[in-house]
Amino acid sequence: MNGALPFLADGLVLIVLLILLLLRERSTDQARLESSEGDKTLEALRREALLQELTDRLFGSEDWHFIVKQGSAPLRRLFLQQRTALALSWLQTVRANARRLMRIHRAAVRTSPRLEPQVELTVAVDYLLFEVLCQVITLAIWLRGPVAMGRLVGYADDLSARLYEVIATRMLPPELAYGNTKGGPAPPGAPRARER
Amino acid sequence: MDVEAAREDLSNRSLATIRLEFARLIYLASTRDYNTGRYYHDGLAFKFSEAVAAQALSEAHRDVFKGLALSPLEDLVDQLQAYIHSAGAESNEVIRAWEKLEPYRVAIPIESDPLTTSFFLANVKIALAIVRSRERAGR
Repeated sequence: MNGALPFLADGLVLIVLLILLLLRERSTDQARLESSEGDKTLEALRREALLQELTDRLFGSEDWHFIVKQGSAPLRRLFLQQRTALALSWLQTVRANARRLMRIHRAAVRTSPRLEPQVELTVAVDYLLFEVLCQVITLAIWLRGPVAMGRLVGYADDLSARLYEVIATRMLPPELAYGNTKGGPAPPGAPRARER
Repeated sequence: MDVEAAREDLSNRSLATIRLEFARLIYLASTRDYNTGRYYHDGLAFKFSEAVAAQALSEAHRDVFKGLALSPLEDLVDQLQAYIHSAGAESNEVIRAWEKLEPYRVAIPIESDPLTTSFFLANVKIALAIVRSRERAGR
């Protein structure tokens, strides 16, 4: 039980932060910010789609099995050291993209004439779960390295995809929303044919 | 359309004579000006245009890099080992120079995203360590 306390504390802090951010006043240069944020998000999402293959390789076990076959402890150490650093960078990138998406969402909500409390709740809960999961993944990476963490990463990926779907289909302008444009950027973690 | 034709030409001529993907990566990176990042290829520019040739080279570079960066580590090690053997110098000398100077850094396309770049660099570092231990064991 004691082990869960830090996560609960993190969760509470995130809820408070989320509420504070949602209540924040709209700034005067918001329109300019929204547009630049939108561009950044579009770019980030394009990259995200490209990064999918990298995610599979980074958190898969194929390379690790190859390293183990070499039978060298220094090689194993080098591999884990390099991959841990990469996995943490990956997490940072994914979280930054989710934060950017939430900023756009908040900006859109402030100007929206019709608010849907149920959607807002879904977005808030999904984002909270996503953040908590990212903390769990960070901890797991520090403790045992990024090898064979496909399932956990898959959950985080699916959550960020759900977050994207809810926000994009309701809030983002059509050119940013996945599915409205053929060949547009795929959402992070969109359903993919892969084994975990 | 022109770019596609130029890419086909590039594949059928210049790249067709290079067997290893790693060697193709180094070749394509070498067609880029270090200072400006622009790609040049006299033959392609003559047949198409300078801009089309540059675009074709840039796309080919990006594709070869992506293929290598995301390939299984085992394949990358094989590629690197074969490339080092084909370099025409003592393998240990090449490995030492690569570990110290990291010349493979200049083989990265300019538009590559930071994570893929880091992934490639880390994999080459690991692959070099494996090739070095294989070379030692083979002596």
